[in-house]
Amino acid sequence: MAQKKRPNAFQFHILVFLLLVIFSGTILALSTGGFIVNFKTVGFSFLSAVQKGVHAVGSGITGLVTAVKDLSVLREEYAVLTQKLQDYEYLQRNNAEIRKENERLREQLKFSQSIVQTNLPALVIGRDPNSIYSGITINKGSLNGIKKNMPVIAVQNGHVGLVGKITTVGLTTSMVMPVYDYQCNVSSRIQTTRDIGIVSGTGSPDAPLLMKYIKKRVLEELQYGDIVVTSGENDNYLRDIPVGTISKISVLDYDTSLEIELTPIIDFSRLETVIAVDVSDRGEL
Amino acid sequence: MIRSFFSSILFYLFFILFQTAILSNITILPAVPDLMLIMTLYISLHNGCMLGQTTGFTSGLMMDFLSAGPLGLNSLIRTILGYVFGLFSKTLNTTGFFLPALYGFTATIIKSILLLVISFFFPNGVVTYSLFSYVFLFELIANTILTPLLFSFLNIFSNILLTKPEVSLS
Repeated sequence: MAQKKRPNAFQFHILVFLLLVIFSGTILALSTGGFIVNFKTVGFSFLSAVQKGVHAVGSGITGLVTAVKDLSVLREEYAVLTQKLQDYEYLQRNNAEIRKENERLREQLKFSQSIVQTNLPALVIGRDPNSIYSGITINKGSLNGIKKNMPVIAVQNGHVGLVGKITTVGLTTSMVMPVYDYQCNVSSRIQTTRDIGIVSGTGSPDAPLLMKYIKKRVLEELQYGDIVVTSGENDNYLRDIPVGTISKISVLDYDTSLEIELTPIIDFSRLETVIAVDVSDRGEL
Repeated sequence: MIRSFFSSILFYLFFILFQTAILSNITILPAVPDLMLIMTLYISLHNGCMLGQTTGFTSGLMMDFLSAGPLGLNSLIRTILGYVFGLFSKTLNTTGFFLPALYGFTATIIKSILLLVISFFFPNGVVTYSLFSYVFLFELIANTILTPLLFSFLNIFSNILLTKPEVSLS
């Protein structure tokens, strides 16, 4: 009997030990106001790394299946492209000349790039498992230089637009809170009138964004399609990055401000690549 | 029980990766079906409160790590759901289509009610469903339809997922 009780006694010791460690650790965390390890970051790093792997495998399988189909298409395209190549060789010669001319004109006009901050391109590898939250996981993390609260932009059809900001940083992955998230608020200006307000998300990528705190007196100056850009105040976001275009203006009797609905510049259903920008890198001219 | 717990965790891991890396990227879906919730439902209805709440807690923690929501929100909801549905272990029929569909429907409704209650106590950071929104209705329908299908799929692995598969009603 005594031999049978030993394992239980041993397990009980371990249990008490674990309970005490957890209990004392909790007291320590409460008394210091925080714990040295951010559990969310550790868990996010681990699970999102696996998520990254699954995404890579999924992409690989999809690529394999589509490759067979693409092969037949490629043969047809090959003949067409051979012809195009000859045309492009001719165009390239002209293009080189145009580029040189462009460089000369830029020098003459003293045109320069306005933003030279560190840019970190990244690929979207996952989205939030909850329907009510809208986190987007990207494949770059602290090892790549991503930091918390970095603004994230994207280029779609030649237009730059605001995607959101980094909220959680793992080692090799990060989470972006998009502008359409309930919790996202962006200080923004109407590009034409320069009036400042706050743009908030409504939770869905298909739903419009809401802009508040624009005074009613500017109603006459506003038009549908006007672009709203980031104000750049508080250094949270880059200045003058387009957020959306005005799609609806509501005048509320009980409010001194207008309620403006915006269509996001970025089509989030097509979002594949993003660029995280290090605003702490003071490279603005 | 330990074997069932760890087997369940592997299934949860598979489902969350499927949810986040594949399902959530299908942007034509207005909402992502909650496979983790259905899995919790299956485990708790077959294995009781203890496994229901512990696996529910663990699955919630996994979701919290990969979600933009506050840490602990999903853990709390799924622990409660695992415990509540565990109370009906071995008393509810889980075979067929309509009854599991009804459980999936009920679990999704309870989840949204729990979110409302929790948001009352933690107003900062906890976002609730709008019960008549397109997103919630889609998730409700998707969960309802997928529950019997997923139950049937999980029954294939009942030997490793259930503590006593020979006496379960499935």
